[in-house]
Amino acid sequence: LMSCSARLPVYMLFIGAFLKDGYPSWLPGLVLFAMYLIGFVTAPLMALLLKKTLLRGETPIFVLELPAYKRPAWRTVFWRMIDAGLSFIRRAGTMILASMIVVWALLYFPHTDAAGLRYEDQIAKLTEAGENPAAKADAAKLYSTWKRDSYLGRMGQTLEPIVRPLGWDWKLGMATLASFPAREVIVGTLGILFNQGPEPPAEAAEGEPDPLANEIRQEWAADPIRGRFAVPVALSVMVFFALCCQCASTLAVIRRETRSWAWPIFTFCYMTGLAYVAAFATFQIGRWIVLQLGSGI
Amino acid sequence: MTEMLLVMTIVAAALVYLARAMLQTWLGESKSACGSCGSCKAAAPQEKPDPDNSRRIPLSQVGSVTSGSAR
Repeated sequence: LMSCSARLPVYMLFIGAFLKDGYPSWLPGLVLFAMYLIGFVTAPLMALLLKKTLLRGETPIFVLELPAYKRPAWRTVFWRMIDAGLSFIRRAGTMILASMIVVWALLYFPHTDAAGLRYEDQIAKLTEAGENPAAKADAAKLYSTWKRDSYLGRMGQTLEPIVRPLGWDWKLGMATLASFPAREVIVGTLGILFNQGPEPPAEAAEGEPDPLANEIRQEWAADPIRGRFAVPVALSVMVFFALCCQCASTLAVIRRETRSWAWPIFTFCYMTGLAYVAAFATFQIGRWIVLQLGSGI
Repeated sequence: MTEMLLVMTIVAAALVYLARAMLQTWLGESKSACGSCGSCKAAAPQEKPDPDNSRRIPLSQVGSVTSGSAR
């Protein structure tokens, strides 16, 4: 439940996309702090609840040997930082790359329509027509149809009724599902899912280096729910990620430490349930506030 | 055709890599997904010897525990 560094890209992406422009400069920092605070508040409460229910009995003695605290040496900090950075690139980087290849393939296939014509050829033909706005719109529509009919699109649409109460669409649902083994893949998955297709990526605004944030913002703006309730949806995604157990290695460690399958299954189920309920409450309360205010916040 | 074959090979390789990474994570032999920050695998760099403990931060609570009762 305590926020780890893997959640930070999700927070940064959605805070940068929806809580930066047009808001006081202190708000993004406050929201980021709130995401960490959720963990700090929820973890002791859950521990208390488990202690009063499943884990009743005498508290076992906990002994932890601590090293002598010393002021850090800059050289040690520097090399530790280099080591950790390289390890991340080698371990998480390869995992992210492999996941992205699979996500791309699921979003690419089948690459022909019902008549057996390749979507790519049809889009290329339409974009070759030059600056004709009608042809451009047709190409974008065809690209959207292709993605919706892909294996990932079909899976996402099947899953959509589950995530719709959170204000999410099938793309957010699939990106979240792809992040269950490891959260690190979420930004890459969203990058592939929100790629606008034949059109070049949207220009980043001044001081906004992330075109992905712009693409998500643009696509949500055209949607009746995510257009009006963009901030509650963004908060709902962040709250879900703050509380969900999307980490196969954590579950593996729980299984090894407890020598049972029951605890990792229980941890996964209760944390996913908790994240879902919290994300649902966040979206619904945010939606209610927006409706009360009478305009999109 | 060759292009498609190449694509399918890359996708299959990615799938095999992911399956292997997940299995290693589950068995506790992870070299990929597990500990992606690397903090649990990277060896701590050697510190300069500090025999006088000049950089030590005194913690009164720790002192009282180590010199007092065991609990």
